[in-house]
Amino acid sequence: MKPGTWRTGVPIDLSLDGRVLKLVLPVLTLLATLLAWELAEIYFQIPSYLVPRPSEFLARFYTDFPELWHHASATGTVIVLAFAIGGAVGVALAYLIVTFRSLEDGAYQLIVFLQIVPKTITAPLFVTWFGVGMTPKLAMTAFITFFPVLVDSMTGFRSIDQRLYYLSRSMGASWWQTFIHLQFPAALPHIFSGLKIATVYAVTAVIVVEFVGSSEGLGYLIVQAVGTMDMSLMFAAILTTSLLGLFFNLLVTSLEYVLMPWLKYRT
Amino acid sequence: MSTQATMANRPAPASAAAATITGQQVTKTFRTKAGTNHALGPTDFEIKSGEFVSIIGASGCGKSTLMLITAGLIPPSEGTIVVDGKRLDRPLTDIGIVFQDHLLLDFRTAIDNVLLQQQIRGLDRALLSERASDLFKKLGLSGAERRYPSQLSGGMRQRVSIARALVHEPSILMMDEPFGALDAITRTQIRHDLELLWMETCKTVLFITHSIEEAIGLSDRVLVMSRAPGRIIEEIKIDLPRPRPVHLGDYPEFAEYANRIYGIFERIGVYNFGTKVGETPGDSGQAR
Repeated sequence: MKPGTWRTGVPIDLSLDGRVLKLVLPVLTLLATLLAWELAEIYFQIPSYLVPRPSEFLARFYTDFPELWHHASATGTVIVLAFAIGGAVGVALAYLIVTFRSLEDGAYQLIVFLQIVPKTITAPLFVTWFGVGMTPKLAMTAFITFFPVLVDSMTGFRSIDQRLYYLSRSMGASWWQTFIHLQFPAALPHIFSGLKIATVYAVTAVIVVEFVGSSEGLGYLIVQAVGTMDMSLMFAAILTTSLLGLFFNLLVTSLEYVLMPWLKYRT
Repeated sequence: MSTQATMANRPAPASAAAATITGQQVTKTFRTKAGTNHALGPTDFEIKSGEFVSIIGASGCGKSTLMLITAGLIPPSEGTIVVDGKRLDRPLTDIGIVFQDHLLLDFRTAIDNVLLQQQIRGLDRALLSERASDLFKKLGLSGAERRYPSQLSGGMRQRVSIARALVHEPSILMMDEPFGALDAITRTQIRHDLELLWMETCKTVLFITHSIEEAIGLSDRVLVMSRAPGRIIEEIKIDLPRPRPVHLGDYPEFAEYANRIYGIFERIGVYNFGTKVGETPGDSGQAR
């Protein structure tokens, strides 16, 4: 069956092209799910202190907006800073490892091993070392962001045709010129794919540290809501966390689009 | 049809100095896991100032290695390269290089790829921009300036990479099978364009090829390399007027030159025809 054709074979003109439908359909699905959820709770008489109704926790976005916003921005700030630190360290170390053979032989195996270790479990360690506040969150999240960026940057630096170095040497390029004009932009798409993976890990990392010990942030809010059995606030906080993750993913994707216009033409 | 083969058609050397390059007992051995691989030489050669010299040889004979050594990009295992009386111990920078693959940076537009030379060498932006657009015109690239390499055809990419090798007006141009990845029609056109550009600028050119037609069509001298480990075993002066016609068969001399090269190739076992060398010369193709 052709798209836009109903069973009768008569084409229906929805005046919507595929792009609009792609946006509309998920929204409709979401609304239908929420409605079904709401109705199911009413029908089965599920107590809302166990599972809040969509109408309840969505209302919290309105009534508790300042509080949600405050904690979301606290968590968001950590992620932005951690991305900058973890990303920069990841790219720099990847450059050094790819440039110096001995570093690669020595450090790479260790890094692969460290990458397999589930790093979120080290959250209590960071809280013990750095106390409660911004520092442990930042350290942990940067630590987690660092690995995917490192691994993908290494792939990026390695993907460069060796003969390009012949060209840059014949131009008399310094190591810095080679890095800034050749290696870094060539590795940039890979660096960004590392950053995209990092967005997923980073949000989890901050929240876990906030679970363990903190005085603000969405993780802190979730723990508070558990303490007071405020289920609708907890659901609102979880949803906010997901939206935050989504936001950062979109941010990285749009940055990629702005910074690397040439990718549009790649086939 | 003029067959008055003469060097008088050669333009007078431009004021910009073109370099003289000599190689003495140049040898290269690579150490691999399987043992040592004797890739090149020992061999001697000379490229005079403003001369267009081709090195022709079968695949794997070490001609690309010879070019990299001559450019100072890899050190010879033994022997020396002397450029304008000075022994080469670092990469030549008064040079433009074109490889078989265009090697353009996919994140830069065509013009920005060419102007990479200006940025890295710290040359005057306005002057180099002007030269770049001039080269784009001469190479039939007008309108392609703001396009990314992925938006260009293979032939256009290679033209951009030729522009990149020329924009800073180096005294030496080295090309390693620059037309090897192109189709026959594009190849003929670029060859012609390159010859005209060279006649204007009169640089010292080292041109690596496995195409007999390209070598004769472009060079003042053709150096024929043996099979690996490659040594230059024959030197053939090409005394044909310039610009040479697209259809080289117009010169009876062309067939003679081509036959000499085919003859050498057959003698050293690059070719094994089993019959007499044919009268219709063409691309050496996949000579193994």
